[in-house]
Amino acid sequence: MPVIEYKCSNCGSGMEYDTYSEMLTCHSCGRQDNIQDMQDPMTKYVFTEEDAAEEYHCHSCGAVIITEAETSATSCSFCGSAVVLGDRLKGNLAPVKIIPFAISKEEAVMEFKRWCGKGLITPKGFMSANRIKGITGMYVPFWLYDLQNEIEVHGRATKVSKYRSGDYDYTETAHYDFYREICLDYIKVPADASAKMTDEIMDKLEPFPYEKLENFKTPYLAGYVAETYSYDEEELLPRVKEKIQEYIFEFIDSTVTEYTSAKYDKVHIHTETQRADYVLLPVWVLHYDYNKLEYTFAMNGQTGKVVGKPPISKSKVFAWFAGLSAIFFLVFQLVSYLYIGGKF
Amino acid sequence: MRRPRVIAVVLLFAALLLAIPMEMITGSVSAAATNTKQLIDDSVGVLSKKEVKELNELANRYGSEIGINIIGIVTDKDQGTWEVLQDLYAKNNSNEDFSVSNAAVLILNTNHEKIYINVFQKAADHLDDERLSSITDIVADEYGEGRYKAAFQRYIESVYQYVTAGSQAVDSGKNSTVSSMISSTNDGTTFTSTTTTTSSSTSGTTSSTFTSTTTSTTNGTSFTSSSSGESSNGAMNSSNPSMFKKWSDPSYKKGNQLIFDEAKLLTGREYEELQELAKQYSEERKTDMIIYTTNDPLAYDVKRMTQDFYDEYGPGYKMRHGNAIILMVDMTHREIYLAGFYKAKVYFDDDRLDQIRDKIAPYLADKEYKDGFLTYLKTVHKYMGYRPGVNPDNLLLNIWVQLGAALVIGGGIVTLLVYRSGGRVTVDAQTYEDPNSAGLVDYSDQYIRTCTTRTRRYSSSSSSSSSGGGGSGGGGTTSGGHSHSGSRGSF
Repeated sequence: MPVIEYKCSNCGSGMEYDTYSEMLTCHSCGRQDNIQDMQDPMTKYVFTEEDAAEEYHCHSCGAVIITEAETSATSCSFCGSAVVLGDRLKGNLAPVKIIPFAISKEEAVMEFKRWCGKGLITPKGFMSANRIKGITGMYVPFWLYDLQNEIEVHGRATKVSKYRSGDYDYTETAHYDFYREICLDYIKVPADASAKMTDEIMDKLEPFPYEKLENFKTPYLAGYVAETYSYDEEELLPRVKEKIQEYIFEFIDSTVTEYTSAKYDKVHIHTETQRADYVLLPVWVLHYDYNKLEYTFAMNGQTGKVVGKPPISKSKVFAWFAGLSAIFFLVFQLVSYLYIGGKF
Repeated sequence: MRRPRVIAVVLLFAALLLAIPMEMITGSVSAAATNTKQLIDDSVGVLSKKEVKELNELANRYGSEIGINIIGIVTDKDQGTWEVLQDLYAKNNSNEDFSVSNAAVLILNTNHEKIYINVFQKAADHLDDERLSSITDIVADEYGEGRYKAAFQRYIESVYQYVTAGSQAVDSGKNSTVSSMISSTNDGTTFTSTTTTTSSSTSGTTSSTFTSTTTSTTNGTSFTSSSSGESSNGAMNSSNPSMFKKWSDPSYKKGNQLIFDEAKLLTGREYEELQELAKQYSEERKTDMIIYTTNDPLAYDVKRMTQDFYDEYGPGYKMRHGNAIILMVDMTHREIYLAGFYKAKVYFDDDRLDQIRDKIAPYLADKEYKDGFLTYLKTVHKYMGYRPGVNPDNLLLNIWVQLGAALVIGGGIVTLLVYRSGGRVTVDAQTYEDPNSAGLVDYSDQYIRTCTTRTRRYSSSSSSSSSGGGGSGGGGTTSGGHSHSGSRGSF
């Protein structure tokens, strides 16, 4: 039985994860189960070869569940029951941890409307945010890396001092060779493993509150869409390395501040992956129609931070430009007037 | 989250921009405010508080320089000068305020529409009847038009100018005589006094009603100067062939000629045009803007010529030896000299005169005399609109630079707005760093060598443009005792 559903043991209705109580909740009778105490149906069931199905059927209505290759949780498009595809969450596809949603769908819509209303340069019609086409709660697969770095830097640096003596200006440039050996550890650096989500948007969604990480249990997925990773830990390692490289150079810079200028001749960074955990992180994905174009936004399911390119109103941009320029020009003029005009 | 941040950025920019010049402004004001005496009193209320403060500062500044208390009072009481002064002296705590020792006192009586000027001790030495009556004329001009502030300002300036202009022959016994007489009598008749009476025309015309001038010297305290300072100092001039003597006849001054084209560099029409413009600008800035050209083979040192011309002709706005800026063009030696006297000296320090010289020298070198002189007049007029000490050519004060800067800042902020509209990265190096393990394990710094370069210091005073020769000297004092600022160069 690769398809898992959560039926209320009281009334038999479908149960879903509730963001307020953080429990699996039956909307019909109000029964609530604590997920961390529940036995995961996955562990009871021993999968067999035949279970690697190409097709999944809804237990409630029997319809074929429409899925993509990466889908691991969704809802039946006919009856709406929450379904979890068990065979896509087992073995090396099993997430280690999960951050559950803290923002419900209603809150997400409200938060998004608030965000749209604050847009300084978005068109007026967009600011009212009344054209939300669809909103999906999605658990996006991430790898969290613990990376240990050993860094060796050789370089040349100068110290410049200037002074005046007699009729001459002197510039004294002292040259140095320097060497730095640095240990730098980075913990839980995230990299999104979904092929669908653009890296740029996912990077802007950070940071996720890691203190909310829970041990993964399938009931958390009830009522949401989830995906399995498209890239494994090895494939994503270069991307994470690139991400922390910037931080590493920042640190190296901070060790040579006593110099006027420093040039790195040889930088050797040895990165060792201490640990890479497969986790699911909560993201609300919103589709929005404006002016016959569809815009996609992502919202951090814990912090409510919204990311995505909104439409931009040219007239508003121009108004800001003209207004700000005029204000600054007036300020300059006023200051000059006060400065030069004071006749005695 | 986003809106307050944008506003904060805008405010920060604005604050930064305001902070620097504001500091300059407040700094200069507080510096001027130290150690000021009360010298201006307006019990009638024809001056605003700000005007009183400004005039007081001016009186203090000029007064302390010449060692004379320049006092100015507006009253409507039916009192004699002496009572007015005693009242004020008693009202103020400080011994310095309204003290008549070494003082010049101007009283505008709005009740009688009269002007009283009284001078004591040192002031009396410098200001004889002739000078007092000319000051009275100047004050009466402004007072008659209801310009009280201007009246006081002109009064303070003229006292300063006359006192610095050259001493009357001072006989040393006189000081004590005057002061003893003041203490002996109490009815205000012991000092030189000039009184101007208005014909009490009640019609609404604003034309000057101050026509008749009566000068009375009382009590036999004769302050008439026996010999003029100019002649006693004249010995210093004697080595020069005095080509400017002809201008010393005061009748020339009546014509209010400002352009003296002895070298005939201008056509008749050009001359008329320049003279007209110079007249207009001189009136606006209350400073004579003079151009003097010469190709006399006897021409001598250009600076000395400028000084001698000032001494002889005595240019100045509505008075002899007053506010004037002179451009002396010596075609014989192809040199020019610029000098600022009194108000023009304050507004045109050597640096500003250098700037003007750099602007006009290229024109003169190209024989475009009219354009050069036009530039001179326009620049002088413009610079007098800038507070002394401010560099008028400062790029930051240029309107186009300011407009450009405003557009750049506006564009920058808008670009930032557009760029950030899609959300931005809010994690940094510290977010994922493990603070327990991060650190420098090993390091070494090895000194290799030191290179030293030296460059000769660039001196700005000799930085005149390619067509203008090196400026040297700056200002000085004329033989007649008029101090001035200056700038000299060839073309």
